[in-house]
Amino acid sequence: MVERQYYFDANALFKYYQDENGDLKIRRLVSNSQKPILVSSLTLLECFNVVMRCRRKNIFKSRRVLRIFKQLKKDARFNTTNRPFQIIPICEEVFSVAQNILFHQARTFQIGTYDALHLAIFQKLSLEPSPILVTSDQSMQNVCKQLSIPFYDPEKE
Amino acid sequence: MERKYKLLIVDDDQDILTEYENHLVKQGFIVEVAHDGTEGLEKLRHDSEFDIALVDFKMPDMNGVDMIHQAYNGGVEADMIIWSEPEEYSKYDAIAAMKLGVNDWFEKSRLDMPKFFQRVKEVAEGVPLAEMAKMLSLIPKEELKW
Repeated sequence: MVERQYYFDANALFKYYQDENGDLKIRRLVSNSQKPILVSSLTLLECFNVVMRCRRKNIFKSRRVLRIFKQLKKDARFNTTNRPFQIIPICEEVFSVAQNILFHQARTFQIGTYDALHLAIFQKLSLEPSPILVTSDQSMQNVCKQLSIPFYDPEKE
Repeated sequence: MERKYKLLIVDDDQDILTEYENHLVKQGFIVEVAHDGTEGLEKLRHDSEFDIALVDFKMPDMNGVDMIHQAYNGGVEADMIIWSEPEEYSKYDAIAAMKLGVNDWFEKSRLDMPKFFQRVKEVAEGVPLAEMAKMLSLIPKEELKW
């Protein structure tokens, strides 16, 4: 039986590194998965953005920022076989798909640019069996239901 | 998924390559070897999966510090450990290595094997998960808006 892969949004990826609600389920998922967990460059960019906000507010010094960045980059690669996270390339088409998702869903659900992009990246994955989107964002989950996207919330159950 | 670390040994001594390749494979590493600096550079540039390279300082085509300098200039992100015989290098070489961000320097004839393997593992692993969690715990909740 072919194992289903998981796609992490930024919040899910952060839970792997940070002790917060759902972290143990996320870590278990990563260590039990036979294949790398899928993330996109956007996922990493969002994490870098949070870290840099903290640098700006002097919560982190540069040395610490560099260590965090280095580790995030070390754990995720394109076309990897031995890293916990595999980066999915973002194709041009993703932006029009995201635009379409925003147009149809954002009038009902509180989703933003990044959410729409994650959903679009996920929709453009052509993997069999279909992967599972991991997110704890309630609005994202509502849109997933609308778009028939399988999802998993590590903060629940 | 079991995380396996990929390591490159760069050394012009075939006996060392064979011996340490065997040791490090037993320690759970995926190991490749290169016989000089040129081959080492080639392998590092073409495979971004290397976590760490163990580089001999004295090689016929270039020294280990020069090889690492070229590797980092070419965008290689692997961590590096240099090893050498005590008489082969000066303090200026060690300072140059330090400035490049080389993680450690060992002397082959004075190698404490368990400590050496432990250090190689530490460097390959990077920041342990517990330390990452400790650092990231400093982020206030309100900053975690996605």
